[in-house]
Amino acid sequence: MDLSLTETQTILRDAANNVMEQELPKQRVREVDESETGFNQALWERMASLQWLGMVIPNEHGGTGNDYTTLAVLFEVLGYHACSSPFLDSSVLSANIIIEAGSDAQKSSILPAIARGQQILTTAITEPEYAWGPGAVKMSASSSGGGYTLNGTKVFVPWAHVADQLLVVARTASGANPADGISVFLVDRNASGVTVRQHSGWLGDKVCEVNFNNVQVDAANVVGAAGGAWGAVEKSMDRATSVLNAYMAGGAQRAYEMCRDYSTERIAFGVPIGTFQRVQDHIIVSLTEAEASKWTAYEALWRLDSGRDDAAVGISMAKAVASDGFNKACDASHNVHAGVGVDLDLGLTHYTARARTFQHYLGDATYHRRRMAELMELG
Amino acid sequence: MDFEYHYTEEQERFRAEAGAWLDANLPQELKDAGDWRDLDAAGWEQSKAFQVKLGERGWLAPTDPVERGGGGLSADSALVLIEELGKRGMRWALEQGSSSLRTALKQWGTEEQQDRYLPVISRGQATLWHLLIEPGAELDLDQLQIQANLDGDDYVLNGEGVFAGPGPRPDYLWTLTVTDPEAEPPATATFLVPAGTEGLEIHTPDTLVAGESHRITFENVWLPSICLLGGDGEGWSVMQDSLLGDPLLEYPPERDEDVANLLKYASETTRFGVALSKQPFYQQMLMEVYTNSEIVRIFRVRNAWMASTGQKLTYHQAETELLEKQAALRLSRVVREIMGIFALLGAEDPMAPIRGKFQGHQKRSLFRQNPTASGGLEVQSAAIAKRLGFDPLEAKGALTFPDEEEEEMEEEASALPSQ
Repeated sequence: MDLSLTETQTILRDAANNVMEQELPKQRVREVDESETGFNQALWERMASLQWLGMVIPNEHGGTGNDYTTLAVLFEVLGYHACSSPFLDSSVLSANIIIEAGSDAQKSSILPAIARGQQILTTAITEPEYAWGPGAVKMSASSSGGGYTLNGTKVFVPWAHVADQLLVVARTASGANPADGISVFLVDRNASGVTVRQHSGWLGDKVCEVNFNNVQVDAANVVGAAGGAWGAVEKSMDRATSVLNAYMAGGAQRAYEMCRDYSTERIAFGVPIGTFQRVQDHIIVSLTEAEASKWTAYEALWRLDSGRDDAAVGISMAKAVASDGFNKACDASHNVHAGVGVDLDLGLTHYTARARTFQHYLGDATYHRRRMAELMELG
Repeated sequence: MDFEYHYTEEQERFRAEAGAWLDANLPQELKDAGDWRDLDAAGWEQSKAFQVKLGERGWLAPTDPVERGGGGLSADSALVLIEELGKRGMRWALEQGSSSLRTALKQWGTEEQQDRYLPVISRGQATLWHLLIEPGAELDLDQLQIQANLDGDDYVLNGEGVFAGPGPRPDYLWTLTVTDPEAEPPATATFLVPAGTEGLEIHTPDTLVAGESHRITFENVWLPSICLLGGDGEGWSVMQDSLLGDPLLEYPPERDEDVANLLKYASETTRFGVALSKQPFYQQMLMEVYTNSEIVRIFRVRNAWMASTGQKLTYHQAETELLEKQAALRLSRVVREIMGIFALLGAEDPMAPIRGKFQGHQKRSLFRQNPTASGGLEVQSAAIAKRLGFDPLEAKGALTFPDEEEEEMEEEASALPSQ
């Protein structure tokens, strides 16, 4: 038993904190969030130069081949600083699908570019009947002229407006098992028939509706076996979720620290409000939710990195905890801050928006609890 | 990171030895008893006898020196012993407050006290009850109603308190007393009181869970100074230092047996032809309580790791206990939802699920909610806040202070027309 960070992880954490403090102070978060792209290009390039974007890409494909716990240490810092970027979607989820299912040609052409930050990929999974299991993949891809034709709509696709290519998860066949018949297609964002619209609203990261109208895809751009790609997608989603959990835990930790600090500074009736037990109760909720998110996330990462059979259960459990916990930590922090909590310059709402958004991304608590029950073969 | 304990060959050898001994000596009736509370009078006597056997091997205090009644085992071997007891549903044999008293004796006791008491406790020859007082909570003189006055070389105790511990009768009481309520802060002292001392009276109320707590009155109970543990004035520190327990003793944390039983029941029980565990509404609740129990387990691993690496635990144990209590309360409600009225059936009813264990669980959950008896959620929260650096005595959540209320009332009174 050893829950300490390795020397490499400690150095990475400290370096990442320094970079974030330099590049993304609180006031910059709002500017980035309100910008058209939703991320900081200069910071993106710095992430690439620091080799962060290839951390879980194998060395032979231009990455550094780190484990997921090490990547999660970095993501916890990114979450703490409310850093938005296509990192998770491009370098973790999409890169993993290529690693798991891609051809040698796809791996050698795409993965190094992802690692260098020169190409941004995103994965389009969810549809208007928003859900994350294989049964929710309804968009069809029909075989035509040696390739495929895509028709349909994907919604809440992260970063599609800045992506160079999309990995589109679509159905090429139907059967009794919903996991069968699912394929993944590599589609250029500017391909004919592809239209991208940014969803508008109170969202933590930029997400888009992507429409496919008779989009032609060559057979060479099918990723993995036609009709047999769900396994790679699910495995990649698990890995991305394990890292997202750490990001959410970092955000929850910041929400906790904000209310803890505020409660010592804000004076009411001549004393800091932190002396009131009712205020303390909110602070404690924020603390316990942040810590539950963190430790379940790292326990799941340990299961993942050590190749345990029960890794998926742990990842789903940690996501269920983080989906609820990040929101509760923010809600409790708002309760401590009261009216000032919604001041956009204060910064708490940066976290609340992310808590609300990531609650759903890669599956909400309800979805993951159901998945846990299935994986544990209850009943 | 590594969340798993890795066993050495030496540990595995000891596991075989300990397991064989336990299988040969643990009475069949005690296997998977779950808790001393689930034992009848005969079962309790069997458990006492078994504890004496454990004590003879030094296994009730596995890491203490042999000359003090301990087992002289390494921490690694003790961990295996705890696991093997846990596998047989007997982990509670090592708890019951005696480990915290041993901690207090070793830290605060004189050589004479350690020689006298440690072997008795470590050999399972003493049943100990302790005053119910929550670790980490503020000392509340209104709740502490036992006063000790120095008379010559002896102390005289008067008052009453609520005590808890296993079995129908104790051999010793471990209590906190106030010795000078006027001092700032009030002076306190802890005593180890032989239960047969004249002037003690034990009242065990009829409660839902028999024997959970006992009201004990002290009327001119004379105690020699050897019964004083720590100095006069150090009582609160003694209690605080020892009551949270050793986080290493909680490692490796066990999976929650109640949750495991509920999952098993829900998997094997159908309603309208479908297993309860496959019905979405129940499935969500099942996974929620499973997750709650896992969070507590993972926090215990964290606490043990912190303790084993010399990191200072501050709010961490109180935080774990808070979550454990919240999880238990939620589990209690979920059990009623999933088992329905069957959850209330006792072991004697042939239709009782899981041999009626959840009937006891339902009753005990009420006890857990009672802040006076076992430390409610608020007490744990106060302990966390204190360790985070907030002083809960500065204000108690009231947003209007008494002086202001009085001023407002006076203003209102002066505004009234005179009769």
